[in-house]
Amino acid sequence: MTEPLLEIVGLSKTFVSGGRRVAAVESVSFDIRPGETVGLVGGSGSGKSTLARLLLRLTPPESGRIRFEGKDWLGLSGNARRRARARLQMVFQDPLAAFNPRATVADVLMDPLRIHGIVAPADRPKEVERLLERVGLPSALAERSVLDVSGGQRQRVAIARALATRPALIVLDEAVSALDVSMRRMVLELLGELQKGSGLAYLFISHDLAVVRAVSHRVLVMEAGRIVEAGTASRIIEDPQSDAAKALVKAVPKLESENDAAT
Amino acid sequence: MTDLLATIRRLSVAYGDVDVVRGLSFDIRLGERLAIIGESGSGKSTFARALAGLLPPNASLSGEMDWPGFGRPPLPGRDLGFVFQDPGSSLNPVLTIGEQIAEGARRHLGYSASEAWHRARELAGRVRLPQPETILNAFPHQLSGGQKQRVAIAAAIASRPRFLIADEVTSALDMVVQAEIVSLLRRLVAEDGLTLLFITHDIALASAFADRIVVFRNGELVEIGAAKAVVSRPADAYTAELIAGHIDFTTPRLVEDMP
Repeated sequence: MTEPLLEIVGLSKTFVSGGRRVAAVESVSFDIRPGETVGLVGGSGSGKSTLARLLLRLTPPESGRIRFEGKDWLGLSGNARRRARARLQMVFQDPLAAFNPRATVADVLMDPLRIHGIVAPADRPKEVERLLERVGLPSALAERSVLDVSGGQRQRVAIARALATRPALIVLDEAVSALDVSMRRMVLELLGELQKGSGLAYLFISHDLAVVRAVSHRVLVMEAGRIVEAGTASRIIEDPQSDAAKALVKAVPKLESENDAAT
Repeated sequence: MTDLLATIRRLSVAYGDVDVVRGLSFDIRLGERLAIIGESGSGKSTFARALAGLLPPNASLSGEMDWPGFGRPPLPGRDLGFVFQDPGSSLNPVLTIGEQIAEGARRHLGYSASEAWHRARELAGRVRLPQPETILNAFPHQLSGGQKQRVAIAAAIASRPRFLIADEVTSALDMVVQAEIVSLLRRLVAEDGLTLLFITHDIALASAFADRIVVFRNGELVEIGAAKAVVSRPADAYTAELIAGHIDFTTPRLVEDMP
């Protein structure tokens, strides 16, 4: 067994809502190995996005530990934190909300290169070109405004930005949910290509078990802040144990053709 | 031809020089569940708004829409109900749930305030809102996304329309809630004998729910037919592409196995 890339133990976070304490994430533990895609699936309000925010240190947990690349990630500060931060990236559902609307595609990709000092300033334009090529975009796109590219292209730019700092893990929070079917398929295939032989790991968060199944090596089912079931996608789909997993399996619409019995 | 709700002929909608919908011609049958499938920018929402008379003033409309099912153009809100994608922005944040549901009955059925409230109470039960008595006095921000969409559906059917347009009503919801809302629509349509126009980008959802499917691309109709026939034997390459792009439990996995 390879050493886990990420190890989460007993992570909890509570919010106060209307005077009541609501556990958004409760005693969550799991790990991710290098090169692995872990799918995190659950409904709205199940706590999966809060878990992503805790993992990215966008919000502090009440308790729990996170080890990332052998270091106590929650305890890192200053330069050590910045270095680890470069290795842990995120792609959101709506890339437009994640970009400065006045930026060009080149600006979006240049920022992480500059902030994390990834390549020498003179080599950065070349690096931008290389990043665009990796996500299957033409280099001519670099000068376009982020507002001026299609939704699918924009999500590829978001992935290129995440790749810029040479991460070991990318957290993808509903990253393909807003895309049209054809674009969604292409972005999912791109994620698979990027992973091949690279050791890159993903935490793939979605409410759609069919999409999670297509891209994940292992699946975690989350409900009411807890991981209620874990296993391979095929085991969960064939034999779901928790009510949450059963509901997720049943909710996936099936293409009904003339050969299927009428419902 | 009394079995038709609407006939649409050469319908086009443009904003300035940009045609958003081009030369649509098809019929909507009384009592059918008709799905419109298309990707972003296919013109499906614009078409729905044109049908409902809800286009913004800067849109220019040409072509014909006849309404044999009504014998006259329908009155939005009275003859047809409209449910939008985002219930968070279609509900009024400062009105109680009860007031929003009751409004259609007051305005279009001439109900008194107490009659309309009674109607709202009945509808809250029909759309399976939990604890209807409490929820009628609540405000939209206190409800979950799925509950808000149930409220929007209740409000849309409050005036007993015969035609319901549901525009991407499940796209902002998670899959489990989506399945619940589809099952609610299925039941309401059957119970009330409604004609339903169900707009979605999800061809699987349409295939499981609609009698017929219309496929839109770039503002044009590319295919129309019985839902299961369109899925089994798509006549157009674009429809075939949409079907191929669909991801379900039988799709080949897109990752290599872990070493």
